[in-house]
Amino acid sequence: MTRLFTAIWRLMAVSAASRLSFWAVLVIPSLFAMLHFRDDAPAAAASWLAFAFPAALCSGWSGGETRRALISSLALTRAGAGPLLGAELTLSVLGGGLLSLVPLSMLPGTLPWQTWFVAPLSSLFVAAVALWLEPRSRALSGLVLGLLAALAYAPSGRGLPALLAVPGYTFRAFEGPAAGRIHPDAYFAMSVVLAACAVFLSATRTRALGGLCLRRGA
Amino acid sequence: MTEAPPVLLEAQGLRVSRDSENEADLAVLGGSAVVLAGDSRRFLARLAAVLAGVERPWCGRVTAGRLGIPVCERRARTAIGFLPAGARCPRGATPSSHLGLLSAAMGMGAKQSREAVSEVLRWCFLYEVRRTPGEALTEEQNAQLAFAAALLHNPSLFISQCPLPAVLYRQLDDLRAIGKALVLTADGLGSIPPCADRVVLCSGSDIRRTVSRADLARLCSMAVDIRVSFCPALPRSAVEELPGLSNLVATDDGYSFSHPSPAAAVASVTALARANGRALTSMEVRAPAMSTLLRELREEQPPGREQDLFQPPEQEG
Repeated sequence: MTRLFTAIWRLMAVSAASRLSFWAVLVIPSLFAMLHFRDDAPAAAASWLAFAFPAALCSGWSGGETRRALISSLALTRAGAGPLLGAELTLSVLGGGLLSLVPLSMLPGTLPWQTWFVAPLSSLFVAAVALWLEPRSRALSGLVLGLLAALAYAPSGRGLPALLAVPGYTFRAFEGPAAGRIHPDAYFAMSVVLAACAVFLSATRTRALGGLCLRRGA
Repeated sequence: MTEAPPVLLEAQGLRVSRDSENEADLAVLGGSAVVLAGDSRRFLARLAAVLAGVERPWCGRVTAGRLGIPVCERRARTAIGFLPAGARCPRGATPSSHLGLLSAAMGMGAKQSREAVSEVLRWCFLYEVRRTPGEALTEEQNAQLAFAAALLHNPSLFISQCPLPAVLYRQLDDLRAIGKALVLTADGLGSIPPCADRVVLCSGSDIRRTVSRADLARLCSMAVDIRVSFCPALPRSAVEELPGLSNLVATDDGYSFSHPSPAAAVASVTALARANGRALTSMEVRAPAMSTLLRELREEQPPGREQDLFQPPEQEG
């Protein structure tokens, strides 16, 4: 499995590095967030990188030719197309988690324990949403991810919008119950539920795509 | 005492799609090659996918391997090597890395994978381009790579969803010689590989009949269309003198006719032109379309006789 994951990661990395959109989605929103949340720049950078890395990695890749060719080849093997999704999600979580660790380590004081889980879970959610929606429609995927990102700029408050603002998870979970009006446990619980739902949907979609690619003759 | 070759693919009561009218039975033995032939690429692709377990049939049961595993079960994948139509090397991958990835997905160890990939690349004439990016490969090289990928795990049954390039015909012979069962696809008579033992003639929605290669040759010779033109033009009465000629029709620049032996017809036409002091300006021998062959078969079939695709074709004489 390690060799398979490594081979898929290599293909994803080559594909990402050659796409201008990857670098644009990775850098521009993160810089914008750091400028906007100037007072908490490291925290903003951490939460935005956890969001932006999987979004940039999976957008463009998941609806592309390479992934379709991979799915149709892997669907015929004993392992099926499942490992492909596994590799995609793992790279997104590892990349997003590692990137967000850099600014997190700059923060003074002790972080709430939820923070360490919320950042990778939000990466998992974003990657799974992109992998679920993009093979259907690139525009729809962009719209949903854009909406989730835009919610991060909504004033901090109670209710669903605050819990749905994915780049805001990590950011607001830092603040703790004293500063924020929502307990970090709520962010943690919400991120677990959202990630589980998105992974289930993307797995269903990938399995269906495997059959579809073969029926259509790749 | 030599053992009888095992049945490696068996389809019983098969109706491929809702439109199929007849149930068909088909068996493919180890060391034999069956070609699915017809005019409808769509139906052929679906039939091949059904036989490989990629799609479910409308009704019927398909099993593969010596153990008779239903093809839709995941464990049947080890017994089946399937070449999907239009398979391509992914962008950013090379033939070597693509096969390496697939071998990992098939559960091979690193050493075994290295050896298998290298061996299959050499065998499929891809070793020279093993480090060429996928996007730079030609159509033929992509087909060779898909063929290599389908056979990487050494399956006992190989099924192709599309016609194979002629460069792979030698490999098909090798596979047949070592006891593998082959199910190939041909969208015309020209794409039937030389290794084929039997040909399954298909209409747009049904398996019509299985014929041996010899029977197919006989059918084709009866249905072949020969077109000739002479300069100066030869009168019809002279052409009518050719022995065995039938369906003679005058065309814009000459004549078109059928003949039970196309080779003899070619010789006779050449001799006729020489005897009458004419130049043979063009001669075309057109292979019949699958639909023509199916029509010929229908006319040959005695009324009320059941088709049994499971039985080997009857020997003539």
